[in-house]
Formats: sequence, structure tokens, C-alpha cells
Amino acid sequence: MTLPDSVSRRRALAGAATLSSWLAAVANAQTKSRPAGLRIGLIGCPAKDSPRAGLLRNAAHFLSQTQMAVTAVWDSDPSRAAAVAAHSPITPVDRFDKLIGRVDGVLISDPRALAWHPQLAAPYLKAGIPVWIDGPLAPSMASAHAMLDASARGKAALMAGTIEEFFPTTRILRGKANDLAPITAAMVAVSTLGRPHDRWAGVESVNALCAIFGTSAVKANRIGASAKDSAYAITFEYRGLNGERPIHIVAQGMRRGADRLWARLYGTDMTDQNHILSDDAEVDWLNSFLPAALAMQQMFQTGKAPEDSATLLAKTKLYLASCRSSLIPDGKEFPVADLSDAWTLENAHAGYLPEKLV
Amino acid sequence: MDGAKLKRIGVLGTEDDNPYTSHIYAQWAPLMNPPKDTVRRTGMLITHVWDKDRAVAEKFARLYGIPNVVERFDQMVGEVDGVIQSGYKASFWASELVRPYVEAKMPVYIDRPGAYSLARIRSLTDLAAKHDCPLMVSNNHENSGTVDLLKARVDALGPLTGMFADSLTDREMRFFSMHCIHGWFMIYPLLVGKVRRVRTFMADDSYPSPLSLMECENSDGSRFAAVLMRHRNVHRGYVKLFGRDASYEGTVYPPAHYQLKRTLSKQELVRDAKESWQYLLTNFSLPAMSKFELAIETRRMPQTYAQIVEKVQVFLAMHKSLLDGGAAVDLDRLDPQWTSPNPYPGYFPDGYFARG
Repeated sequence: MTLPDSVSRRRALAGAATLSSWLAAVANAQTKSRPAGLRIGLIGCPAKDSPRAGLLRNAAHFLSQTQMAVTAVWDSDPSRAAAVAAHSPITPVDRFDKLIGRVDGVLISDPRALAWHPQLAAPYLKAGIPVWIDGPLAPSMASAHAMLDASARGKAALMAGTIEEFFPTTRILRGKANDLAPITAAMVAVSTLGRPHDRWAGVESVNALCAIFGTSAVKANRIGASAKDSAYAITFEYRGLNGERPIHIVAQGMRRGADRLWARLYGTDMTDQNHILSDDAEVDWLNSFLPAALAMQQMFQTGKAPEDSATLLAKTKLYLASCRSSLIPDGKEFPVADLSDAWTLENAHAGYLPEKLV
Repeated sequence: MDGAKLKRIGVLGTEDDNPYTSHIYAQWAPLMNPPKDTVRRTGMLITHVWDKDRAVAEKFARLYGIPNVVERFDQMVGEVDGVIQSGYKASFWASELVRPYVEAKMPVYIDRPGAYSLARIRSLTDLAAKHDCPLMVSNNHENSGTVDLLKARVDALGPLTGMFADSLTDREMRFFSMHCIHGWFMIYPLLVGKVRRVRTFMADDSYPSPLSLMECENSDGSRFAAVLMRHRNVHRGYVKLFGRDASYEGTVYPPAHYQLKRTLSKQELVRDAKESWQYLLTNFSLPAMSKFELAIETRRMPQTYAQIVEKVQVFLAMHKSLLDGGAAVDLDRLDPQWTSPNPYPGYFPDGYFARG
């Protein structure tokens, strides 16, 4: 399959027989057209039929339209990495730490890998290679602190985020929140490609809330964490958005039916709402994926992360607190301050990283 | 319309002339007994009125040209075609007030919440079923055109994946059963048979804005959350539905003067408020009365007895959770005897409804 240098996402998707052949084609195209671009190492390759495949297809695609190119991949399942590399100049490596010397930046993007984010990022941070994590930073606050310490020691930029934080609509909503201030309540919906009962899934909502309203939430509550759930709802009690008065902000994540991002904000006398659609592929691409890709590129080029460590820690804590809250039997709100550094998110993918490699 | 053909309505309690606490006083009565030179919009006419305070009933009767003020609450049996029970103070005793009319098979409309315990609402609906009496426990919101539109669309959305709604709040949480219930009644037609577990959080006691989260289940077994936020009176209600195949939204009664508040002059605000009130009567208050009129005409109820019970049950679960600090309440575990606090204890003295 031959793709033009300027890849049309729709054409590429339509022409690709399998994910691996499509990724390979994109890699060929980007390598031919931009040999001098930033070399990206990708940790985590999707299974062809994975719910995450769509998102990662987009991830590969947005890379192809920037100055970045995936040049090496690793996956705990070698067949996945081999499939991605089969018809392209992408090099599969057999250990997660063997991307050193081959890449200018590392993208970790795999829900199965959350428990091992610290181990996966460590060699690169130590080597001064910037690391961008798609999703939550770490499974515990203790490991989050350790990762940021490693980042500081290695003078390597570290970022963990999701695309929602970089939507133009998110920026617009942040402006509206200022216009309507004091904010008295808000409701936000995001689409989630992961399974709602996968703990990883809630991070899109948490990050969207943090990007719009900041990280001053003091209580968390999450419902919708079982295999039967088609959606989840995360509630935060915020302080500081309405003077001293606490307010509630709720986010729902849905696999289908939501716009990419929808939000309704309440001020004292006015309401306002905005959304970004996801039913037009090109609109979705331009508004949803490209902004995050450009932020990533900027970090890899400048070595400066888009968020400071305090913000990264704060949003990680809110994400973990929302997960912790779903375990409270009586369903009450969980005080964020009660989250201990040691509390660790249950690892739903034991065995992802073979013990001998850790 | 020929006056002889109008359906005769009896009013069970008027209480005061605050349009927000007594819907019958300022919202529904003008639609049934319109002032001179005003277009008649219903086929109903209030012919009888009772209130615990006779002077209040007489004032109401003078205002709306009602010929009969009765002494006892049960003295309208056989005299009217249907009765409406409304008002804050007597709401706790609604089932006692309407009992004689239910037993007489006379159509009854109870302005929310209907009952303050599961046992009481079951008792009332059982009695109504026994006597084949049309019963409505309702409010303006759920009968609005907006909710009808949403109801018509909800099946086309596929299994629901989420819902956001808001409605007005109240400054005092002792009135949770009167005001904060509005939003729930508004969205109930969209969630019939779906709610399984409820929790209500309150962030700020000094400015109450309780937030209710409902864990719901579609008929295909998939689950989703419905969120009901109570907020300042920016509008009467808002609903956003998310389904597997599409999303849809609607606003219940969005008067222009609220939306444009910041840009209107004081004079414009006064004028707009008057126009807005007429808009409220015809677009917000009328549909509920029209549906009651239809129930009298056809003796068919817009909601079944079981649905009325379910609707009250969820309200009770919401209130119980609020009082329990946000602890979740499973609907099927709600104690039938658990009673939502009476906002006006002692309004009717003990033994008032005892039968001789």
C-alpha cells in the first residue's frame, strides 16, 4: 500500500487492511518525507481488535503530520511490536529499555502498562530522554513523586496527559469559566474509547476538569466501575471557584453517544456551554489529536514539559482519589487529602511486564 | 366555552399567595378562572375551595370568583369533577386530604411530592387502584412540552449512556421535598424503571445546591449514570440525554429576561418580567393542568400507580442520602417506613384526620 506524503486519515483508514499494515504505511510515508524529524519511541502497541486501537491509530496518524516520526517500538507482546514494524523502517526492540540511542523522545501509551509506568520511564529519564505518558502518570502518589524526582535528576522532561487537556474547546471553556466567575457548578461529558470499568478510563475526565477548572478539588466520588457500566461519573467538590463556597463539578465518560467533549458551566446569573463534535473525522482530528501532538512535539524539541511538577502531581492525586472513592462501600465522597502516598491502584494487567525485565 | 360544560374543580388548600410555594394560587387558578378579558385556556373551572384557614380560602375565592368556600376538607365530595391538592404546608398530609375523594372515585391531582414515605404512597395508590380512581402526583416540569419532546426522542437515542439535568434549588433544605424534587419529577419520564441506586451530595450548607447521582440500568442490562444538579433559578430545568446512537437536549421554560439579565435596563426588566409571567402560565403551568383535565375526561392516568410509587421512592432515596451525608441508597432496600422530614410539623394537629 502506498500513501501520499500528506496522509488523509479517512483515506488511510479506508485503505488499510490491518492496523499493522496501516501503521507501516504511515511510517514509510513519514520516513520518506521527513527523514530529519524527531525520532519517537513508542511503548505499547495495540492489538488489532483492541478498544484502544482506534485511539492509537490516531496517535500514529497525528505523529505522521508533525515533525515527529515513530522509529522504534516495544511491546510486552513481541508479536504486536513485530506486526507494527513488519512493513516499515520502524525497529522493534526486545526490551523496554532498548530505545535509548534510537530515539529523541518516548511515548508510553498503553492502558495495560499503568502499573509499570515508573519502571518503563525510569531508564529514559535517567538518560535525559523526555517521556510523554498517555494517561495517568503513576499508580500511586509515591511512585509519582519518584518519577518526578527521576525527571529532575536526569534533567528529562516528563509529562502525563490526555488529549482532552489540549482541545481548543478546553481552552475556550477555561476562558468561559473566567468570564462567568464565580463558577457555581459545572457538568462535563467526554467520550472514552477505553472500557468504563477500566480504572484507566476516568483519567480523560479528570484531566479535562483540571484543565478547565484547575486542581483545587477536595473531595472525589466515582460511580460506574463495573463491567456492566457503559459510562462512569466522577464528581469533585471544588474549593476556590466560588469564593470560599464549595461547589460540585461532575464529569461523565461514555464510550458512545457523547461528543468528544461537552461542558455546561454555571455562573451566578448565567449558564454557558460548549462542545466539540466527534462525528466528523477531520474535525475530530484537527481539534482532538493534533493539538496534543503539537504539545508533545514542543516538549520533545524544547525539553520543557507543558505542565509543572506541582500540577502533574495534583491531577495525578485527583485521578487516584477518584479511583479510591469507587471502593468506598457506602458511596460517600472521599476526601482527597486522605489519599495516602502508599495507596496503589489495583493492577488489572498483572504480567504485562515480565518480572525478569523489571 | 359554555360555562355549563366546564369541569368543576375543587381546591384542597391554597395556603398563601406566593406563586412559588402555592402553585394553585398564582399559576393554576388563573388558567381555570381567568380574569376578565383574558383568554380561557382550559375546560376547567374552580367552583369550590377549602383551606385550613378559612380566611385564606375566602380571599382566594374573592380573587378568582369562586362561589363556594367549604368548611371541611371532605365537603366537596360529589360537588366537583376533580380535586387539586397543592401547597407547602399541607403536603405532608396530602394522602389524608385526598382520601375521601379517592374513595369516591373522583380524579385527584396532588402537587409534589405526593407522600413522605414509601408506605404512605403505596397505601394511597393501593386505595386509588381499589376504587379505580385516576390519580396524578406531578408538577409542572414533567408535563412540559420540552419533556414530552425528550420523551418522544429517548427511544431513538438507543440505550442511554448518560444524562445531565438541572433544576432550581431552594434556599432552605427543609424544603427539599417541595423544591428540589422538581428536577427529579422533570426527568422521571425519561428514566422510568431505570434507577437502581441514588446518592445526594451537598457541598455548601449556606447556599444549598444538592447534587443527586443516580445509577441506572437500561432494559438491555447496560448501566449509566444520571446526574441531577440543583442550581439557582437561571431557568426551570435543563436536560441533556446521551444515548448510544445520539444525544439530545432541552430546556424547560427559559424566559428571556433571565438569559439577558445582565444587558437589560431596570424598566425593561419589569416589562419583561410581566411578559415572562404570561409565558410561564401558558408554557409552563398549563400543560400539567391540561393533562389533569384529560385525566378527568378520560379517567386515564398519564402515569401508572406503580410509576407514581417509583417516582416517590426515588425522591425519598435522594432525601435519605442527603440526610445520611451522601451515603448511597439502594432503591430496593429503602425502608418503607422511612419518612422524609415534615417541613411543617404540627400544621395539622394530631387527630385532625381521625374518622368519627
